[in-house]
Amino acid sequence: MTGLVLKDFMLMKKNALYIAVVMLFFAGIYGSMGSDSFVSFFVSVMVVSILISTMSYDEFYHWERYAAVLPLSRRQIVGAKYLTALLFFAIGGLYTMAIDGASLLLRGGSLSGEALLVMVLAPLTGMVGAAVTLPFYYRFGAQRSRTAMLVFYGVPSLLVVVVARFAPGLLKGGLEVSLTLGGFLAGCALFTAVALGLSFLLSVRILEKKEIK
Amino acid sequence: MDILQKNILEVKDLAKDYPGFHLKMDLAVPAGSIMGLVGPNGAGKSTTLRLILGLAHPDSGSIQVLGCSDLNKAPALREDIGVVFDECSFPEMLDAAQIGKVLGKIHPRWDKARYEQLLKRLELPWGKKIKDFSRGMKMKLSIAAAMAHSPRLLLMDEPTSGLDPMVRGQVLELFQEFIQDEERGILLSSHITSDLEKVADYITFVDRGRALLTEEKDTLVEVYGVLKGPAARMGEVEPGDAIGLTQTKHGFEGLVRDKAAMARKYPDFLVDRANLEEVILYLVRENREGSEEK
Repeated sequence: MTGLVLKDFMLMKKNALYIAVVMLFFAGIYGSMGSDSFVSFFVSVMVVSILISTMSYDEFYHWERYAAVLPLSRRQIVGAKYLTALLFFAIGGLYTMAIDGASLLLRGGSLSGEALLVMVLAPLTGMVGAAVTLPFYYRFGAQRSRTAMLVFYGVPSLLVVVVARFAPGLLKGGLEVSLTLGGFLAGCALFTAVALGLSFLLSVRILEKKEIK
Repeated sequence: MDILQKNILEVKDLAKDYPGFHLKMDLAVPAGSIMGLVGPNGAGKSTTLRLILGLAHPDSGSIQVLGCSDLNKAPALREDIGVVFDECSFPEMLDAAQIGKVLGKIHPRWDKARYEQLLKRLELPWGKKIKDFSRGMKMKLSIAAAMAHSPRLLLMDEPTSGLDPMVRGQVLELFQEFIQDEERGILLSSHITSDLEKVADYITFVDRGRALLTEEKDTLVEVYGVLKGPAARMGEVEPGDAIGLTQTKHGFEGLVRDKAAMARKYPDFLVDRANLEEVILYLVRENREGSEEK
């Protein structure tokens, strides 16, 4: 199983380095404007995008067919992709923390509750995005999973824009959460874990029933 | 087929329906042999391989691969199977060394030294990106990867297509060495009949989803012949004696099943040795004319 993870890392090494450099550039611009949350979310979106790129490569080279004849169960094949996703998010999270930390040091600020919230919420949102897109990949292929990712990020963003434009009061009210920060983040983490777990089971079921061409 | 020989692969009454295509297949690969699966494009060779490998689900029938009826329920057994598809499945931005690292973490019996030896023997570069490989090189890499974990059964779909004659010779030599211990076997799908003529012990002809004939290759080549004679005397050939009897520029010709008997029956005509390609062409033609008449 680790072989499949290794293959994805080998495939994306170059792309990830390129993206990391671009991110650093944007981090500089937005950090100087005092907006670190952009970097957190952008890294999270990029991680999902890189994950989908691995799937596109798998599809293009018929790797799914090859993996299915290796001494691995379909559950292990799916498990490897989810493990890859988690490792990508871990690296993305560390990268975000490093950028945000450097930004704070340079500007001489301290970590606010809001910054911490964003730093944790961004990868969790990305993981839920991965939980949505991965079953789409196993059922419909890489192209449709990319569409699923766009819908996942696009629809909520559009809703926020529409609400902010036409009913800004609603948005303000909606953000008043009575939970403590820790409780809220724990709830989000639990939700993400459940989403990933269910997504994994669904993907395994899809791949086990799938006829591979 | 010698019934005392143990089959390492057995396919019985295997059926699969797709829109416009029905597969019905019987097949066996005895240990220590190479079975050539031959037939025109779209005949069902790749579908048969996919069903054997558990990539598609059969509608009915049975498949026994190394004694196992469902590879998907015993994934560890896949370690004993090497697979070469008709296209290289390795991402092209990787090189042969990286492929070795990846597969070394997947195959419990991966033999790095053997892999390196195979790459060297097949004259493949260690650190060159696969995207810079020719089609033939990609196929050779697929073959090396399929053999480096010492499988007992090799399943290959058109592994020699795209290879130049010299390299084909090298690869066929590898296949023959592979079965020398009489414990292992190869199912080799190909439309390059000259390759099969060189290495296959048995031949299964497939057309329109059906195995038309399974026979020892030597028997096929010895028994079948091409009956030839002047066009004016074509009528003298009794119905049923020759398959696909047709008039050509030089007279008539048709495939006969018992070369020696036909030579005795028609002493005025010529009975030539039939090569594998001729046998296939006539059998496929007969099958198609037969099914159209029905």
